[in-house]
Amino acid sequence: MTSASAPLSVARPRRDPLLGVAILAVALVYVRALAFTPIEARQGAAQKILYIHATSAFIALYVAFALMAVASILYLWLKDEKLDRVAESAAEVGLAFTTVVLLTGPLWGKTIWGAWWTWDARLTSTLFLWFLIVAYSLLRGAVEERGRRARYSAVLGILAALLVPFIHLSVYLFRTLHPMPILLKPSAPSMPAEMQVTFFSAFFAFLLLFAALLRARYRIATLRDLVANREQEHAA
Amino acid sequence: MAVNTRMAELLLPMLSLPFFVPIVMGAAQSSARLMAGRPIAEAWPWLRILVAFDIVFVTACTLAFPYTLDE
Repeated sequence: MTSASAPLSVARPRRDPLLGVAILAVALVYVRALAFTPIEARQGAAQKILYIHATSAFIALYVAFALMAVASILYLWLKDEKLDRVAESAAEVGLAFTTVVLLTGPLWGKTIWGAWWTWDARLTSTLFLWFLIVAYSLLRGAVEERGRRARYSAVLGILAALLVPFIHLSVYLFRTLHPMPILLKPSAPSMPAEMQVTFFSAFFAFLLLFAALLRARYRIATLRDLVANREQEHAA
Repeated sequence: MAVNTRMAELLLPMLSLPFFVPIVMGAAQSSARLMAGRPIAEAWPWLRILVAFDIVFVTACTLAFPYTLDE
């Protein structure tokens, strides 16, 4: 870039109020989970990791990757670059949440099952999902041309989202060490009310964190595309 | 799709592996039950997954394929 180029007109906020609120909410949920929620009878304090593990899993699967898929479908239909950026951001933040799931899972498993990792269906399928999203990010990095990159990633994003229910179904049929869903099942949730309150506040705190990170990531993508446009204009 | 990218040789296996998981699991589970001489009803849930997988992905891939080609 030469000094002749005009400065980018996008304001870069020093503080991100949404992110601040989200971090505060997560901190409050930690306090509640650690100090004000009863300890589970059989598993002891180790069970408290549920509030991070299960909420992150839920947000990654049903919020982040669902958003990625919807944005991908809409992109192929409307060809709006904004939608491509939403898909990109949702996938990357979802990858972060899946990583949290894969990190907290072994910590929990070590205390309860006595093993960090087993090649159990549920665990393996989560790992495969993680690989899939890593591949999605790699694909984004591997295609130079922006329009083509957006189309390819949209196709992969849609197919990946279609794959998730199949992985989930296979896991359901498989006999697995991992507990079956406790809250999201047809019958009534089998969890004491106090734990449910903590669980759902954890869910909303992490949802807020997801929204804040998504927005921040989206802003980065927008700036990157702006810079690319400027460079193209410059080269022309 | 992966052919047109840098790192094509790395991307293809990474992209395809997760998609094979439900097929391999379903095929292995159902054929294990059938070869052990179990009644077909026991393999049925897995066969259903395989059939559903076929329908969904044949449809989705047919619809998505045009977008992977360059004009």
